[in-house]
Amino acid sequence: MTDTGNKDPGAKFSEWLNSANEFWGSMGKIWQDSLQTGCASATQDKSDNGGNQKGWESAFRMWRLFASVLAEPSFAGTFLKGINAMPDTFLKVAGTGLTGFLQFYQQWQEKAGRMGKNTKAYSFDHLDQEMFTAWKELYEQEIRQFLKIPQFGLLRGYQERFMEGLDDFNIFQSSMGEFIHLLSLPIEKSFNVLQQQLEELEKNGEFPSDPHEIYRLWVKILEGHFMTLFKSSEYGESLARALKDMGLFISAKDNFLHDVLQSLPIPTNKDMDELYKDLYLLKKKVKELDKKFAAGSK
Amino acid sequence: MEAPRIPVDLILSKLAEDTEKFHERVKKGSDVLLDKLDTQIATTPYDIEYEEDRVKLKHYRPVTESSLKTPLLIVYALINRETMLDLQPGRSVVQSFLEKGIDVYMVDWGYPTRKDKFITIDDHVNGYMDNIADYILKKHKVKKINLMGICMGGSFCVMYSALHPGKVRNLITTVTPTNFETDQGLLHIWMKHIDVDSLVDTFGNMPGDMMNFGFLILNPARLMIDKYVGLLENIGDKTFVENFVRMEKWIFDSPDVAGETFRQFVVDCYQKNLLIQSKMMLGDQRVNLKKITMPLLNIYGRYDHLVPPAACDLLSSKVGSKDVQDDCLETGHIGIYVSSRVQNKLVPRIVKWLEERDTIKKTKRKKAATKTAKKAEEKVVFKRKIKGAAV
Repeated sequence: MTDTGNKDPGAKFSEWLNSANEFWGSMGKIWQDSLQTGCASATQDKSDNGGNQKGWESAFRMWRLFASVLAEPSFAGTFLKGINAMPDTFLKVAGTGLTGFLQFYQQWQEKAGRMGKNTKAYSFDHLDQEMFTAWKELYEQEIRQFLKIPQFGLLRGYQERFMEGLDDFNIFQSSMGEFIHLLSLPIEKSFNVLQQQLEELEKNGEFPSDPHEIYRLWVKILEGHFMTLFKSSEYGESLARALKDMGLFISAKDNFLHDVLQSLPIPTNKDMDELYKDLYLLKKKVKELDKKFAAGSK
Repeated sequence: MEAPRIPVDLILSKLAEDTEKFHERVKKGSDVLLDKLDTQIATTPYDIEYEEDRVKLKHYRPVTESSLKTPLLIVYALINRETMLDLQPGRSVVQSFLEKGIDVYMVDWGYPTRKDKFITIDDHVNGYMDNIADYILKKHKVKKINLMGICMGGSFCVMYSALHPGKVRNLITTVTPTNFETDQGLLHIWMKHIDVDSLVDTFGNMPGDMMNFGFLILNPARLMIDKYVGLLENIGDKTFVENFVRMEKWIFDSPDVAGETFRQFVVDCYQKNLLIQSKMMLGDQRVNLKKITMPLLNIYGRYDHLVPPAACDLLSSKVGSKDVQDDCLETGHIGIYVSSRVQNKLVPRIVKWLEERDTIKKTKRKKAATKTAKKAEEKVVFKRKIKGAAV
């Protein structure tokens, strides 16, 4: 990964534009090629497709042209001069945000380039969860601090609890995303293995004629993948993290709602829990005394 | 280039056939689903004889004369409901027991609400269970009961028998986890990672739906996909659909588990494995397995993915009783109670084991039988004598 932390914002900005331009340029080429292949083989609506394609091509050319102009160092300088005129604090915010975003963007690009490479069947060790760690790092380093800014005044407690809820929600979303992604991996891997097994069967002239057999084969492969995933420490840790973060978020949400409910004539969980505990202890005591009394009267 | 060896014509004809069948199935399926379906569960008649807080004691109405003197108390787990033992006529453990002349009581733990979050395992075992046992003992004027536990309910029965050995004549544990130090079952692996304090502090009680989701993802390929594909394939079969709906009703009828009970069960059992080491504390009492001196029948399933054999089979070597039997059946966690094949073995096995040990009644019966035989013999001798005198 390129270290973007030491460069000036102008260089970062043009670097991002250039890399974006390259990435979307190559993606655009792939789509264009596939569109052309599709058009050549199609027999109907040729004119329509041609029209759409032309429009799309021209829009794409415009975007690349626009982006390449923006990426020129001279333009970036002018653009950033304008930014320099803004208050220092805002610049600092924008600067750190931009750094984090660029890091995340680069990691995401690298990850996108590697997509499909890590598809070893029945293996979930050392999973590449970089997408999620990148987002989490970006969030924790660049965004979270704004939610942690000390609050002032009469309502500071309420604001703080609201911010805490927001913060825990973001962390929970990230952990849950990672967990759900893990759960989706066996499906992706099972299709790959199925494909390989079908190829083998085809080579041996044993390709099943009954589609149900293919389904049964897939379910069996899927089951095997899930079992392997569930036994991996990565899954256990991710599950525990998701549950813990969910717990923290629900607690924070409850604290916030407690504030809201205080202004309404409705008892909160906290109020009720205190009452329930008293009731529980009281009942226990009465039952004990009742038993003692019954034993004594015999 | 070599042509691919895929029987496209066969696949297509099969698909066409399937499409036709599918249309037929959809038609039949809609008829079945719109028809009146018998999907009731737990239909065996019973009376509620004891109630305490949310807990109820069901007493099933006998259908024949009792074959044992000692009544049987069944304690189900806190997860899901006891209705599983009485899913439908013909596939009901309760009904089979009644037909064999067993007097059956069963605990219905009810649905804990937020006010129950402070209730501990101690409250369940030394509170509700003990009060229920006392009620049955008093009603039947007996000193001991037969106790049968299912899954977590079995763990409670083990604790109860260790703390109140004087009130239990025979103990039967079925798919009961007592040794939690195993990596055979996924639950045992996952529970090691769980921050149970955070869960209980957040939710109060452990939500039943959350636990159910946990059980579903133990095998998502089968439980979330293949099961419903199976339903679609059999949607035109009314009996299949009725049984399927009954099972769905039972599976997704999940009460929450009281928070403090869940916390202690996970920490003391799953994470510290205290029960099998006789180190678990209920209130101020230690659960010493050596105090389990009554006969023990320990039944579990070889293919149980929730409570694997390794979680069950250590118990027999840890208790103080010398009359101990382990029985590993070729089935899974639920199959042990709902599979007709296994049920035909399970109930007769338990009844035979109990009959062999319900000594008071058996001796009485034997004495009575000997007395009757002796009387009959005397009658014959007397008749012979009279006959002889007459001659």
